[in-house]
Amino acid sequence: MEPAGERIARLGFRLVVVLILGITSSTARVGVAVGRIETDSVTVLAETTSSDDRRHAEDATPLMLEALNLAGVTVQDIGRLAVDVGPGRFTGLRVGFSTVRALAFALDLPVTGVSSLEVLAAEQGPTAQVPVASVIDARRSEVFQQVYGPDGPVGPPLVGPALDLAPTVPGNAVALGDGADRYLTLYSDRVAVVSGREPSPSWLLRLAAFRPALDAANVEPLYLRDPDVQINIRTRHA
Amino acid sequence: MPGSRAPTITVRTADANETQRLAAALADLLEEGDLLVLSGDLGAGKTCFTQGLGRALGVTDRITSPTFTLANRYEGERTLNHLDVYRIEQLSETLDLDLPELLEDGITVIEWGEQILPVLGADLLIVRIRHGEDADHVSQQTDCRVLEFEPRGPAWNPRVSALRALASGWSSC
Repeated sequence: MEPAGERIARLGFRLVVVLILGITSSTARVGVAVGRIETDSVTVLAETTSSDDRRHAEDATPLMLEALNLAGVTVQDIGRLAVDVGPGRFTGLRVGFSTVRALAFALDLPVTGVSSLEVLAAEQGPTAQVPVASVIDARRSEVFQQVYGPDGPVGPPLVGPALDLAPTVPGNAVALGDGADRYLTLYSDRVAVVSGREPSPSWLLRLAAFRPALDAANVEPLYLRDPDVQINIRTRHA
Repeated sequence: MPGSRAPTITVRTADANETQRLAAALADLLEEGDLLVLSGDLGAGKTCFTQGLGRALGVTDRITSPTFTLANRYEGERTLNHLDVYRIEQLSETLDLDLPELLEDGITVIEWGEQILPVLGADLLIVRIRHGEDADHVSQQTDCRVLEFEPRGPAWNPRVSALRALASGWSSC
């Protein structure tokens, strides 16, 4: 198959550009964006997001078709894919991944995965004076949390009770994400909270565009709570 | 997470009917998002207990053991999630159940849940059910059951005394 970039160039673009499609699905809001990668910039052509409910599976494909339509391109024009790898909702991530993998396998496209926490932080733009704590609701009083400074993550992504993780956010930071919204008092007691933020598919594209793209089989969701212990079946009958 | 564990609270019921009435009484103590872990041998009465609980939550559908479907959701006056993880052999398989999401809504009962405790979080009520013996220990052929409640976590701490109150006044068989 002719690479999409060459195909687009052959169709009359002066610059060799590649179109990228990205899906975010680690929170209640599913998002799709389509953008154009040029030499050193990304132009977002269209972005669609779902309402905040739990219909990930129903939402992903129509949102994708709508974004392609708004961008005035077809899925065959896409040359690269991006996916939000989490951490976040397991069911949402599975829908995002299955959609992206299906496209990747069908159209032979490479995929770049980006952490949902990093996408959140990137939109805010952390600085040395104002680091960003990305906080995603992990359910049952827990959150996924990571702090970003101007040079990237300050520490690893964490999962744990909001009660324990909120106090670890530096005092000069801003906290954002659906976890900070849900456990607002825990965070706002300590730092400024920017409310209503969800991982943005446009920012997913901006981060993914200049990173290596992999074979879809090599891009994995980041669950953070992977339970990998083998249960001894005999304990059932003890 | 380390911490003082509430002592277990033991109740004896005379028969399946009484087990279901006990489960129904427990329903009054339950809050949205609560998790009950049921353990006991096959035939101990885990599903029987869940049926009594379900009725008290306003579930009118027939509750059957979800051994092969893993999870059922019943919509009554309150939502009841009924899981059976007997067939799960590795904790990683629990990922597919999306427990954090599932547990958000309604009351959740997990049969054989003790084998997946590491993925269930701090807040839960363990209910262990076993056959009781006759007073003279002659026969195991009795409908009598011993139920042991073990409340865990900050969500249950404030309800331990209510649980104790609930546990008094049942048959001692």
